[in-house]
Amino acid sequence: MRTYADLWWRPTSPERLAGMLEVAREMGYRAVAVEGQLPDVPHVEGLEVVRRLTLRADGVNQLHKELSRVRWAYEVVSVVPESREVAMAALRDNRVDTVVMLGDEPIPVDHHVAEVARAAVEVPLRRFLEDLDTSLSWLLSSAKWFRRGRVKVVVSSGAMDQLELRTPVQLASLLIVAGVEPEVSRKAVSDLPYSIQRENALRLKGLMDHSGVWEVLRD
Amino acid sequence: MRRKRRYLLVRVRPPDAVTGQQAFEALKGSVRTLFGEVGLLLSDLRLLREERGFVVVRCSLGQVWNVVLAATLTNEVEGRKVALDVVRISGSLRKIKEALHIIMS
Repeated sequence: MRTYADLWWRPTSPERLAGMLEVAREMGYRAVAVEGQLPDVPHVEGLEVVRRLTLRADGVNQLHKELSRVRWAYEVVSVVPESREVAMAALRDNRVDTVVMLGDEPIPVDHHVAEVARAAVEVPLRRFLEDLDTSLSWLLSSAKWFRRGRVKVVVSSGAMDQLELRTPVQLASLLIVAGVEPEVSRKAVSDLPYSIQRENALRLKGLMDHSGVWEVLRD
Repeated sequence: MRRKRRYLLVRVRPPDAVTGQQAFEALKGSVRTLFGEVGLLLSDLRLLREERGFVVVRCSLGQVWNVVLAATLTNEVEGRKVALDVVRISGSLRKIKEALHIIMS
């Protein structure tokens, strides 16, 4: 059975977060990453809640400075680049988990990106709800680089309340309709986002080193 | 040759915001916006049943992901903010009814 994860929530209040957690559990999610303050996260059985930081950098130096400051304070670190130069730097950097190329000014995924990308490209559903034409146009032009897993891709909701949440199969349908293989599309809402948040959570707990090697603890 | 179909169990959230028929019309509108009149005709979309915040719709096998995407991108019906969750996709109506029965109970 797949473990589904949604890497981007932006609840505006603890009450909204509590409602979203309940809906996510019913939808079959196992993990969610929440941006913003997390005071007294309500416990929901079978759901892991981790912290996420979204960096908005307009220069490469600023990006590197911010990354050194915050990387090991959050389970998920994402970048919304303001320029192509920043996008390329973020995609190369192994401290970055995901890069949201579909920002206010979408940056196309092309063969230059495919050559250097180590971080995953994140596709937030909320951008489609805000600006459908621009988002679909970006997705259709970028989708060929996601096929056969050439560039890693993650689909998240970017939800601010429970009515912006969708089931995992619905998030995957964004990629499937754009021509990405169903298996790659399903991994974009399950294995890949789940492994990102899980491995980083283990690193933060000191159970895994930064290169991905498990720490063996002896009594 | 018999046309293959898929049945979708769709949950309307919040359940009392709109009727099943209104939610179905919004879904049809979304398919039309995304894939055009031809896409809507090819999808062969039909409302089969509505029950306490759930609708069961039928579509052609080849267009099922288009219909799922249309439901995903529907966020407003009759001026109210709603979500259409695709809870189950199946090749038989019996499985959908079983899933609905389990959820209701």
